[in-house]
Amino acid sequence: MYKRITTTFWRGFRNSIKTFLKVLKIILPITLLIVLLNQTPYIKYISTLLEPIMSIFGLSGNAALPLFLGMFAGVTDSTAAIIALGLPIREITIVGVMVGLCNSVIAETLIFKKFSRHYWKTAIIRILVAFSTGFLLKFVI
Amino acid sequence: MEWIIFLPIIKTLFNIAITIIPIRILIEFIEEYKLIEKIEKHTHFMTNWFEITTKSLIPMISGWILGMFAGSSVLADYHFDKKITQDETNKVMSIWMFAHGLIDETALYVILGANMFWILGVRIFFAIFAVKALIILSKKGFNITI
Repeated sequence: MYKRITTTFWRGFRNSIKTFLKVLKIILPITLLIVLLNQTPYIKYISTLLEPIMSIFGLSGNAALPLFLGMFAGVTDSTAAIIALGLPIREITIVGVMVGLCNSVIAETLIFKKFSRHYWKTAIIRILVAFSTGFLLKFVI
Repeated sequence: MEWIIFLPIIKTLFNIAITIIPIRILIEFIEEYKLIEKIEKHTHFMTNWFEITTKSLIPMISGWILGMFAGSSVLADYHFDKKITQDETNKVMSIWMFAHGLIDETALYVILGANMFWILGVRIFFAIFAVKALIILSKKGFNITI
């Protein structure tokens, strides 16, 4: 029994390092890219452009990149952008809820496609629920 | 450029590492000791609520804990081997729409300072009540099959 516990522990530890390296491969380039872009006027320009849309969810223009990266690419990409841009905690929570409800929508819809021919409905429902929840959270958080 | 701007990144990556490592070890123990199968015996309230059989619980809970990609391989085993019906597969997918990878995905935002109760609470709320609403509407004749 002791051997089983230690074997499982070390297997878990090795897998956790593999997972961390996978996460690092996504987070590091995106974060570095955004930190470097933040030194230029481009991020500020995009943020200002998207500020009116983001204000519907009680978010600043800066939250646009983490939100859309999360919805279409994945949670890890979203967190990389948040690390680089440094959002306030309230906005990280709203983005976290919205991305939690609808993340990696393209890849995950393709997974749903394996099991049902109505897979496209999942994408629509998730996006609508995420946006309406974000709108409601603006008044609550 | 000041190199100090990279300091928050290094600090956050360290926090991610010390969160991911115990979570992954925990998941390994869950898989090794087949804890999901053991929980199955005590989950009649879930099967009654979602109107599914206990066989659907294993892929469902796998998706909650392991995430969509790992959970879908478990679901594929059950779905394509006809251990569960298409209706049950649809219900599992409906639940996964809102709640999957609950530990990993929540942890990544909580490390950055997000409120865990909002992130988990909203997802679980939709998984439980919105999906139940979809089930009730389907029974009343609305064509909302996922």
